[in-house]
Amino acid sequence: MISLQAVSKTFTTAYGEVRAVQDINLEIEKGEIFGVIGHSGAGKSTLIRCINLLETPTSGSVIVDGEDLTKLSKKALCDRRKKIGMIFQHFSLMPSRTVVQNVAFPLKNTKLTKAEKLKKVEGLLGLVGLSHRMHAYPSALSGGEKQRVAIARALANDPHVLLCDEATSALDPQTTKAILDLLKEVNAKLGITIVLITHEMAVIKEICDRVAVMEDGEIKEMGDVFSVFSAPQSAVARDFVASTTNLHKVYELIENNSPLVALAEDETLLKLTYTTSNTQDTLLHDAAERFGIKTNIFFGNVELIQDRPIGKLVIIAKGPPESIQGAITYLREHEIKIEEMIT
Amino acid sequence: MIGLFEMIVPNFSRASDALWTSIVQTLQMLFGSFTVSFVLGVVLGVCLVVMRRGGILENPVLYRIVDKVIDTIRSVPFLILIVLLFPLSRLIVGTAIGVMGAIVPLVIGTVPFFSRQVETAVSEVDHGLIEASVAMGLSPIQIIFRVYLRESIPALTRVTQITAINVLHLVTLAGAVGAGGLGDFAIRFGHQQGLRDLMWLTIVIILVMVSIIQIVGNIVIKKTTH
Repeated sequence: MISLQAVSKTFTTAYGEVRAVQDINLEIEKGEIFGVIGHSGAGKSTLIRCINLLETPTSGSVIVDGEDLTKLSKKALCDRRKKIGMIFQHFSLMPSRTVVQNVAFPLKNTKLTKAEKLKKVEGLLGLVGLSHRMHAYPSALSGGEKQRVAIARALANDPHVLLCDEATSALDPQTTKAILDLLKEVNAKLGITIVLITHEMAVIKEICDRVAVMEDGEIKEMGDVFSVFSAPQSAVARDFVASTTNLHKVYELIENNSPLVALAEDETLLKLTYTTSNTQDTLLHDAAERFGIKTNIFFGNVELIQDRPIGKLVIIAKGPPESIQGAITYLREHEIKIEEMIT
Repeated sequence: MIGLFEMIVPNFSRASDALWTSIVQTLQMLFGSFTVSFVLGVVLGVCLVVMRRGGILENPVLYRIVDKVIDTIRSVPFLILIVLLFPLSRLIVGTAIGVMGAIVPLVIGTVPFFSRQVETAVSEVDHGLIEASVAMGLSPIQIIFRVYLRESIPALTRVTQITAINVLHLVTLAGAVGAGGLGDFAIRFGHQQGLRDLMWLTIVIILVMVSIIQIVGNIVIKKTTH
């Protein structure tokens, strides 16, 4: 569907060259929701702009629907872009036009009659749930409503791809959730491939099938969201995953020698990570019983990613060292990852 | 009513024909030069925005040329510009005096100022709108008309108001060097013949013209700002 081949983009500024995107290879399948996450300046914005050639790559090919966009004439590129919708962080609606006029904006110079256009626009506004605001001006809309109009506008020419450039970064968490649900619906109903970039792991977790983690213009890690979440390989991916839980607070407590994590002689602080839905509580109980140790749950967190759980528990285990080691071995045999935080 | 008017402007009847002619001349110069200036100013102003670095029709060489020419012409005082352009006026409109003769210097005196104003107004259009339009597959010409110009109508109206009033002042000034119009009338009757009431009448007429420009402009701005 979308294939980036050795795409690089270098900006020449007064202070020298900035290599915003370096040698990116990426395949995005038809109908999937693909996320790119990275901190500001990681190059993700440039990367998504390379897909519809808002930024012309310095080198490499951008193939969408089997066509290399970098080889197209200006006119052909304009036509091609009509099939690649895009929404933006700040919505970019035309302030002098009403909601209807904004959604109809890309339909000008198409073969549709006036009545067909109106019907199409009404249908799109129905899809995004804004039929009641048809004649409002953007200045009268809330952020979430503006983004809905922008989505309707992006869908006007029946695109095959929807690019979302930080589409929820200017919205509050509830509105973000509603917009993500809408994007999911658009993806499911219309079969549109969605590429989104964000700096929020929550967005990736919520709707993406696969994710690429970017840093310094490179993709550091890529895979299905569950794998990246459950076993991040790169440092930057681990940071992002950690940002979705409060687990880092436990590390801070340890670092600051907080009395909360002060352990007695026979105690050990363990971090358990499990990714299967087997009855974890019983396992822990079994281990405790079998090896005669006592456990106290200090911290717990369960994420549901693509309908599969990723659990993290921090427990204090109390008992003779060899019993605790026995319990650890037992739990490891049952596919639970264990890390000794303090012994 | 008429009695009151004759009391305030006792010399009106002595010069009413000349005054009427002057008003017509002023309006001719105003509309003639302003229409041409408006078109040229919008074209040049938009060119400056789209040709600058990062613009949709980036062209640094042409940008620099237009930029420098505008600055150079802008720095010549209008009174000097008129006499400087006598030969050019003769070449283009066949005469250097009267209403037609004044139009060429009026246009050349107005366009640089107005194109700078248009440049400012048009570049106020949010870059995000331009980017979104490119992403939607609009051609540069479509973007100019449907986004840059359309979305800056309130700002363009504001600078058009300012410029129209400016042109009115220049038209009056041109009267001093043989262009006719209300400036010429005020000098001949109000100053040289010492008919102060006619001087004041001229001022009131110009004030009415300025007010009309302002009122019409404000209505347009109000209707197009959302």
